[in-house]
Amino acid sequence: MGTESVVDRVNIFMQNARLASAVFAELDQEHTDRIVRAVYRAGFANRVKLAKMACEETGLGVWEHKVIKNVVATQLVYEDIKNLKTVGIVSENELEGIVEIAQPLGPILAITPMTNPTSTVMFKILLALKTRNPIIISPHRRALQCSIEAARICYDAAMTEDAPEHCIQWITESSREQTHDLMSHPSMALILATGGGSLVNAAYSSGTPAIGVGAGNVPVCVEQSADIPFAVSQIIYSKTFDNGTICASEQAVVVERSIAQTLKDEFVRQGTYIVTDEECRILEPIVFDLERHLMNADIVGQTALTIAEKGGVKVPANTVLLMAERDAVGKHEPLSSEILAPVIALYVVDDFRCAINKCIDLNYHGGIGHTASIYSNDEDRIKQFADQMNAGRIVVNTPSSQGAVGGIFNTLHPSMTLGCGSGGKNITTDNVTASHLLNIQRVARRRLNNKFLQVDINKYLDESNSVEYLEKEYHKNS
Amino acid sequence: MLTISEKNGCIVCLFTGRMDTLASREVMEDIRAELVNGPEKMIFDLQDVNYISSAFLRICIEAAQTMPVDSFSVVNTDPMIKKTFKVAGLEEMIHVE
Repeated sequence: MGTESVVDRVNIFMQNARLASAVFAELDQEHTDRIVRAVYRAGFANRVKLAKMACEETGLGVWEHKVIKNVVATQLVYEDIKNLKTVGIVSENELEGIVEIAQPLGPILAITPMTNPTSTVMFKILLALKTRNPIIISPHRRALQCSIEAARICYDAAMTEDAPEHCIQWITESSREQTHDLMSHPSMALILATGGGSLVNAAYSSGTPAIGVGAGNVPVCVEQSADIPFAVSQIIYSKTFDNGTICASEQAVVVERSIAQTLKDEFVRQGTYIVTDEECRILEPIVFDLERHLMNADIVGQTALTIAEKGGVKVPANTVLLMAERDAVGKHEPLSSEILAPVIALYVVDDFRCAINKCIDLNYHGGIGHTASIYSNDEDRIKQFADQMNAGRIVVNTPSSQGAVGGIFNTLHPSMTLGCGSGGKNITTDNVTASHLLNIQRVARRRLNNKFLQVDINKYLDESNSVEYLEKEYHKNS
Repeated sequence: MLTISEKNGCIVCLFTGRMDTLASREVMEDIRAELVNGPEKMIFDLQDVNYISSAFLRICIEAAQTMPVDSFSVVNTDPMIKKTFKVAGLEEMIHVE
């Protein structure tokens, strides 16, 4: 593949996207919403087929759980955005004299992952179409076919409602050069980047505005007042969902010593195998690349049984989760890092203050800005915990994977793109939704600031006038 | 939807209404038939057009690429239509007013 052909391909993508962008901008809300509804219904109708395709192609996860991801990405996202005004005047404030008008951004490049391929594709397409932005899907090379199929299904559905031609495009061959050129193309309006750190950094460095994500290293604090059997069931449900492939899944449980044994017993009762120190040493190099300080790609989305078998660790046949009790957090403690598989660390600490400190360590060890979790029935402690975490989402008494994604266990916007804020080098901590993909223009009518205008301007120019005096003058007679 | 007339060697194509995908497909062959005759000049008059689709843009591109340079233009556009051509990046290829 020569350089010229990559340039040609990129130019064709962008010419198509510009044309689509132009036509899209003409559509009214009713036509836009008809397109979005058609796409949602098509994606939703194909939720099982696409889930199975994703599982088969990537070799990871659980197809039944991927179906639920597809449901979130289509039905729940659609229900969340369907009534959003995204065309024309979206708000009017007569008193303030401000009218807000929604305009599309332009072509969007959506980089989609291997872990949630079809759900992320359909999610980003729905948001883009709702906001009248043409979208180009850049799939992960290990999830190419299922991602393309998801995009194709959406596009065919969009065209039944006379959507702009090429409103959805997709890359068919994985190419770093092509992705880089698309990212930095002058006509690209936004990059929606879901992927690893280097990819997100590339997006931010491209010169095109980008909404990226960050890595998760979710600590879950099980506080003394927690309902322990409930907490354990929710943590296991979350951590084993799609074999732990959601970035918001729990990575470490932190518990006070006074309830630690009860907690451990409950985990065992519910299908967790707590490994010995020796077994932990065997499993560490299997789940973690000690040289690159990253989880091993081979175990991502694999079952607990598969991982145990790789290490020759004998576990009961009903084991769904592997747990290792650890002390340290950091580079020299592999299991204190993110591992997208049913493997979780356990930290037993003296008291709640120590628990928060340990959660801070975990939070800041590769998961800044992402998600934190607490099980507690003590409002003060929940507030203390939330105050100290650097996380866009702090989920309370809910499974972290599904809780962070939103829409099922809470009223967060359902989203497959979870912003991690400045800590994660993202522009937002929000669950990214349609409102992030709009340019809002404001028509500002004349509404005088009488307080400012009543002050003789010469008083501002007089350096001898104190701040206090000028404040009084400003607020006089109000 | 489309009325074609000739004035001083210039083919004037007067479009009306919504030039959506279906409408555009219906007029495409008539436009191509005119292009085959090799007119000196061609104008698309959009004074009564309130929406253009991707398909219509393709007709415009085809006309611009077939006609000699500076002999094809799109006139009497509604501001929204003019903006569509601008956002599409077609104003270098097609004279729009």
